Amino acid sequence: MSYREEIDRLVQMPAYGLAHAQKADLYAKMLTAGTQYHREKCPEYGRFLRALGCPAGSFFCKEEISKESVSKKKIPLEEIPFLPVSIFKELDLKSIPDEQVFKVITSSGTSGQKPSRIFLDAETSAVQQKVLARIVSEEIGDRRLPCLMLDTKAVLRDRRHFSARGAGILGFSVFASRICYALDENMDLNLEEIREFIDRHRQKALERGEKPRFLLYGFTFMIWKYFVRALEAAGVMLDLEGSVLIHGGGWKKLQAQAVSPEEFASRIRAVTGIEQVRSYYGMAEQTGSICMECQCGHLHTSTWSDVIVRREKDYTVCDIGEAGVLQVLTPIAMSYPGHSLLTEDRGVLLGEDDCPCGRRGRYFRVLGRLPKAEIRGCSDTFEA
Amino acid sequence: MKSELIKIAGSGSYFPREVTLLAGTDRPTSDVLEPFSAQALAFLDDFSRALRRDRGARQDAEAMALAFWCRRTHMLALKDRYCAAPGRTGRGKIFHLAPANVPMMFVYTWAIGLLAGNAGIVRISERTLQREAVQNVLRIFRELFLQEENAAIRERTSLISYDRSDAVTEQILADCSGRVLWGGDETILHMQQIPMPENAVELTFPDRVSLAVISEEALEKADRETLRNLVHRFYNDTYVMDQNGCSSPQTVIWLKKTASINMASPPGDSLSDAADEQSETGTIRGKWWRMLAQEAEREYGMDGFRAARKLEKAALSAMQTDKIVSIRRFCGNELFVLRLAGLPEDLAAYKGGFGLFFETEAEDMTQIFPSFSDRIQTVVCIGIDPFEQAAAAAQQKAAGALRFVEAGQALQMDTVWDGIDLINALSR
Repeated sequence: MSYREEIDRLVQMPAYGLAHAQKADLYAKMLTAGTQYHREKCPEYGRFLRALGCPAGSFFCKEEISKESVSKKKIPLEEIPFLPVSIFKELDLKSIPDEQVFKVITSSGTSGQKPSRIFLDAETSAVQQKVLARIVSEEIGDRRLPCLMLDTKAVLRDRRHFSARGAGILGFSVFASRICYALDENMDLNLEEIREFIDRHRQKALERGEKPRFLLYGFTFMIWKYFVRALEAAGVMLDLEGSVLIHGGGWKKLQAQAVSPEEFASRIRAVTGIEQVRSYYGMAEQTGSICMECQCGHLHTSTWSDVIVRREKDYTVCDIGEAGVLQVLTPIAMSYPGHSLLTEDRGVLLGEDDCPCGRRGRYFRVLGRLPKAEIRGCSDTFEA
Repeated sequence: MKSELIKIAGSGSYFPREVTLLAGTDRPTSDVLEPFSAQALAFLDDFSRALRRDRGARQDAEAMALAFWCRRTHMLALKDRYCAAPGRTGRGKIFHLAPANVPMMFVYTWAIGLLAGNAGIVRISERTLQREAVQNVLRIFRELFLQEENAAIRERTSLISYDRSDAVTEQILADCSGRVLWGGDETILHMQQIPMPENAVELTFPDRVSLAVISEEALEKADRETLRNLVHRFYNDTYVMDQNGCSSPQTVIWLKKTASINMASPPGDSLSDAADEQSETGTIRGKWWRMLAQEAEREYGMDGFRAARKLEKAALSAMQTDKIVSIRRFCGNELFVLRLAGLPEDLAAYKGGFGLFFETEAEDMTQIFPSFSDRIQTVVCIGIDPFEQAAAAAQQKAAGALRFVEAGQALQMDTVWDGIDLINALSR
């Protein structure tokens, strides 16, 4: 079976059903194939592997290898080469011919930084969509829901600002039966429209004899600033009990305002009645295979992703509970060499296969970005 | 952060309102001094002593290096290089722009301007000001300027800050006799667009790349203590400034022993390959890198952000060219060594940072010179004589603003820099 056929099969598997032994087996096989595939298709990646001393034909294995049985080509899975995620800001890396580029995803990047550019072919994009659907449907069910996008429609219109926010909205639009944008172009609440939208779909659900249920989606900080705080300021309470709110984009800005995940969730509950508030961890460099938060507040890898936490001082693997820098793995990056990336996010592995929520796989917490160090040197004179 | 001593330039000030005076005068004089004037030498010596006495400044290695540089004996040694041409004087007011991330650079450039006989107006960036060591130095300046005997230097010193503004810079330059620009190429190109009087002089010090040449034979002969000392000096040349100084070596060129040596597999831990537990730990190169990494482990304070930048640099270098033969690490992420396939066309194209070095080898120095370009600056010489190499480079017409120094001297400021004699250029 080809690498791409294997991936098609992988997509059909349950989202959180693989326990350690099975997953390690599968990942050793798939990532060996992926590494080999990208080595052949992406010349830059091939050169990187060569410089690392990772020979063609190397394979990863799940078990610990004793020093004696180590050969040049047999590599423990945890030693899999990783690319620094920032490399996609510097180079256009693709494992497909130019004419097969179907879509280019650009990450927002922190202000003043170059954005990442991720090249997708139609197949990779479709697989990412399928995987995202599989993960999200675990939260919202198999049916589409009326969706309140907690953002302004303007983020989609303005091509220049078509960034992670826009991509997130587009990605989650597929789970929506109907969409209502909660904010206008000035980021003010469209309170009339929101109420009318909720009432209409409540009514419809009740007519069908179902419990009304909505999907709310947005970026964490946007939700806090323009939805939660705005509802509080207006003294408005929306009746969205039984609905689900999914948010991404990181805690950084809220941490700066000392808002904890618990407070975030309880304030949302207070203004909407929503109990099911779920964040996720994901990035433009591995679109689709996001890690969703469970009811215990843990981020979960799925069948389509894994994490390894590494020590900052030497990139050796951290113990459970030990903070380090996150490496993310996914077998589904086909059109670009993004199957093994070292992020600049710090995190901690909480456990594997034994989260009280019942999901199999590793679960973890994200602690935020690596703190930027003040760099010395003479190449820049002026701060902007 | 800023102390209450800071005065906002007021009416009668030479400076526009946007300017904050950090130390010195808001009415700098254009009255010139002779080069290496008694007043300048006396003040710099006082300043040196004040720095060394200061509890805060004493904690900072760069401030102490500055104190060492300013002491009278060193100033006199510099003076001796200039034959006292009678009647030579400074030019007037000189505007200085120092790089944001070499904290003490604003003092060096000001001091050299003063030694040449000029008043100095130095714009210090906001980022530089955030450093405690810089605040300490500014405080010492202010304290010294309270003393009447330092009035002559005070009226020739304006240490200022202002938000980036070409209009303000232009106003300040209107009565200046020259400008000294240190920094990135873009900044220098930008600043050069700002008008100044037509007879004013301009000295620019753009980005440069530096390297080290190490004789294997000399290292092998060196005893443990000598070797340790060389490693320590080389550490100071590189890691101390995050290996980002223009004069911090980026590439190490090994001068091979005349007897043929086996270059089979280089020592170090490959990034991904645990199998590569090296056999050849006995080579002098491996020993050198290992000792350097150990020094970094003790002194450097490597963090996740710096490690990420190194990994990015290593990946980028390996991906963009086919010149990188191997990527090795020593002591975890303390040291990355990227091996080049032979001498490159232009050594200035290889820039590391945070303890990431390129390495290659040569039979002798003459093989290396053709790989120099105009951007090459300092050559740190280890186990070979810098004076001989300088002579050989001149004879072979090697490109670059060359400066040959011993280990430990790379970051030491000199009144001749990038081939420009600042004392002569800033006097008339």
